[in-house]
Amino acid sequence: MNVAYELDEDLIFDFITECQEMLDMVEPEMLSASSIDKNLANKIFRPVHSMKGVAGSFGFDTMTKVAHASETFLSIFRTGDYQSDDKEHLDVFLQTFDFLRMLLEQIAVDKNDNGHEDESLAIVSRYEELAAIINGGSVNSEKVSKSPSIDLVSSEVEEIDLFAEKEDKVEVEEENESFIPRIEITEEMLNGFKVESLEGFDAIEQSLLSLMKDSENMEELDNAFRHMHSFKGNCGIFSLLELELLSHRGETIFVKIKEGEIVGSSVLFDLIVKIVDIMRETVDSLEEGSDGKVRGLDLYLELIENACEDKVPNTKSAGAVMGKDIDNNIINENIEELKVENNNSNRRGGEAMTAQGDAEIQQKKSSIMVKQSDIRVSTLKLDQLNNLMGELVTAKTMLYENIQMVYDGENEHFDKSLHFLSKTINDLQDVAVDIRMVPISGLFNKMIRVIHDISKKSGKNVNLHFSGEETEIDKTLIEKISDPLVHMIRNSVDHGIESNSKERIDAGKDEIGNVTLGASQEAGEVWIIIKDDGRGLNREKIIRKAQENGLLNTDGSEMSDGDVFKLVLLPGFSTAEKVTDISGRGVGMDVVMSNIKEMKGHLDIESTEGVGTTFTIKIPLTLAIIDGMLLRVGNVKYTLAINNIQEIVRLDQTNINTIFEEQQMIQIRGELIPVISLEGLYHVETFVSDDASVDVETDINIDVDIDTDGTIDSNKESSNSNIDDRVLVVITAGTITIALLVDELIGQHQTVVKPISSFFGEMKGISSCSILGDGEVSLILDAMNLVELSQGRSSLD
Amino acid sequence: MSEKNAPVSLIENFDEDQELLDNKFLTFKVSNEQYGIGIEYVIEIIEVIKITPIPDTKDYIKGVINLRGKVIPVMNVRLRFGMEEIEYDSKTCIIVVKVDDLEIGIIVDTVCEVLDIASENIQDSPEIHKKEEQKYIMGMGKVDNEVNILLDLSKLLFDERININQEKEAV
Repeated sequence: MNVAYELDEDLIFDFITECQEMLDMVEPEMLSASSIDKNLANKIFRPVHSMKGVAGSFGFDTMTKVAHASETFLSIFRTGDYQSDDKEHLDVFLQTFDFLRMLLEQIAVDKNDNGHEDESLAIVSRYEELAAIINGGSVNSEKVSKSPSIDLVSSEVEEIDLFAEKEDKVEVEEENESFIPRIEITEEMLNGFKVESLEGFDAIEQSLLSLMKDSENMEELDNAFRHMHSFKGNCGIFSLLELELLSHRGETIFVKIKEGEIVGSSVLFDLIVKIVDIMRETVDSLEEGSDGKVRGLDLYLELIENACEDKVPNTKSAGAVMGKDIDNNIINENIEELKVENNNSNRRGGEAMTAQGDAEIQQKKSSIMVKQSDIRVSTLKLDQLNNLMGELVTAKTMLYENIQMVYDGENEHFDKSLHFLSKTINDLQDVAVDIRMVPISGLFNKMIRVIHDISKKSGKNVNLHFSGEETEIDKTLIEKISDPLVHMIRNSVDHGIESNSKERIDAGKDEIGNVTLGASQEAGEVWIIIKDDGRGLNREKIIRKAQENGLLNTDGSEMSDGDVFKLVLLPGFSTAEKVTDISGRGVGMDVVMSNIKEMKGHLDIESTEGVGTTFTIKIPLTLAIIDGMLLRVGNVKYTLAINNIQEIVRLDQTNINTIFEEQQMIQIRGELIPVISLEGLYHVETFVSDDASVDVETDINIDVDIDTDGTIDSNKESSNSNIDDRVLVVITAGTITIALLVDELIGQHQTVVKPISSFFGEMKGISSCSILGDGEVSLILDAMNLVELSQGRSSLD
Repeated sequence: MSEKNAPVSLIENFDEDQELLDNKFLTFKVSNEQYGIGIEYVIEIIEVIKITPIPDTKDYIKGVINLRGKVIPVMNVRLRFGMEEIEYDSKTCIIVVKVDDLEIGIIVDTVCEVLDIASENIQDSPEIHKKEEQKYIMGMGKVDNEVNILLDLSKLLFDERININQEKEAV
């Protein structure tokens, strides 16, 4: 093991955290035990063994020595031959744990555990003594005496030896499994394990993808090893024997590559990627009490063995190994790939087979490597925090309103206090929202793997670029965005990027396709962009296909490009020449759409034929608290997010109201904007029904003369005022602007967004509701929905 | 409201909870008739507070109320039964019930008491004057010569589309 490289801060930090967690786990066990028996010994053994291993790989000799002595002593109890309630025995372990903790603290500061020879020797000797007493004077000297003189190389060797032992033991233990009750695995522990493991897999994968480009990268190799090793240790704790075995083999590969025993070829790394996949699959399906059996374990073990010996398994033998219950596809895929790799050198020279059709990973990985001390928090707690924040804001508003009634504004101190309170709450609010935000880079990094797979499957070379990956979005959104993103990338590569590089070169493009993932924050929304420089969308083709599938009744000439492109999102639509198993079945995009709708977002599509296509997902930042404008229509109060409001115009100051095909229009600075009466919307069926326009018509002078101010007569029955001081609120959503006619503008207020009871189902133009300062409920208008309604059609589903 | 939100009929719950809740019903009066609903659904009882109307809903859906930060829809039982609406007075109450994770308030004339009605005292509903009402009736519970009309809460709350829009779309 080469420890010549600098010990990275991050690695040490992780190591320390891990060990501390392990100590936190074993210590209470030891403390609460009245005696040491087989169960306890087994419980303690694995973490201690793990710690020893990892400490060894870092070169922390003292820790290694002591841990080794400890585990050796434990072995006496593990066989079940001996049990003890001697306090001395318990004490020595506790002493060991304390010592280890102290060493960890030193490591945190000095990055080494030197200078405690005396104490470590004392502990080791103590173990020997106690062992001697137990064994009645016949000290098992071979094992024990090795410890003091341990040096790095031998510890490594020993570790592998022990493993050999252990593996034999695995079979034995499995038989005895019924006699060894497992560690009580709580659901929480299991979830923690799952989360940690999945994170570890991601890290391993990232490293592997890098290694495929540069197999000499020691750092990546070590990173992969560490995570694999950690996982293996954890599997041990949870008695997940098959996973432990598989991960052990996996980590051994890394070790052998580092030591130059075997060549780090792409084939090999790819195999490990597959292994990580199956491990991921297994971990994902773990539940309490499951044994974590790995599907197709034998095959993987054989493949590893063969790969380590640089052998390519011949089809027949692999097939013979294959169990009946293993999915053929996996095997064939594996075999296929091993074959493909062999043939790669024979491929057309033109294709730059830098990594046998793998994706070129141009952009660096997540730049968020700054390690701060961090802590995992359950999202439930975060939700609670958010709720309380909302209540706090409501309480503040209520307080303010009530104060207005008794306070004349003359007390400076009071003013200051109020101001201070307000400011502090605002700051708190910002922090509460911020806590849930995570950079999208993590998600983008996952896409590297996706591109890698898609490129392989489709045989196209694609470069992946990132932009704005430091943009943060709410954690809950990350999960929801993930699937749509994957699907759209697949689409881009599968259908967008040309398969023929000649076609690309002719069009003046790079030979290798480019897909860009971007993210940015725009006015209360997060935009996620998937851009490719492929073929682009063909408007005519889309219209034709839509007509064929009965999705379009007109000739489509009146539709904007954007709208035509959106036709591909409808269920049952597909212009793919043939259905590939990646995409093209016509079911994918509408799933994407429903995910996006769930997040209350929208999708815009831009494309130029021959140049490329850009998909933009726009999602409102999930703020539970918005700045809203309170409006009154009739006896109902509505709230509209300030973000949506362009401007506010008094009805009696507007220039010219024209009627255009029964649709009221307002002219503002030369632009004609349709007027939507909210009262009309909510009392009659459609906008342009006679009732609505008649009402409004009688109030407004139809004056086409440009020079005349539109003086408004108001004989409107429903509003009881003689002067029509109704107001037009101009809003924009997407690319469309409309003006909402409301009775009164009450004022601006900050308000908490509450979901409207699902009792009401989908409501026209309303997204949620909010509680006003006086406890009254106000309905929050959904600008986008209103705009869509105004176009005479309901939202695009 | 989409069908899939339609909760399990009261009667099923009724059977399960029998031992636990021993056929306890909260009784209330609407237009001089006494009705009962299973106590297991009742969250709380409050006096009538400000109701914000929601546009485009059936007439018996009066709107929503703000109950300590929760926005809860309220239904006027009189209107639901097709009876005449009267002004709220000091005795008018909103019973907040929870059925299948949905909280809803129902406005009743007055709330009476919690009664224990053993299953043997519950008979199937006979033909009653209004066809509308019949759907919601689960049985007739007799206590001390008084008859309580026991309601199927889910049917009362969820039967028939509430939202005008959806109804029209369905047509």
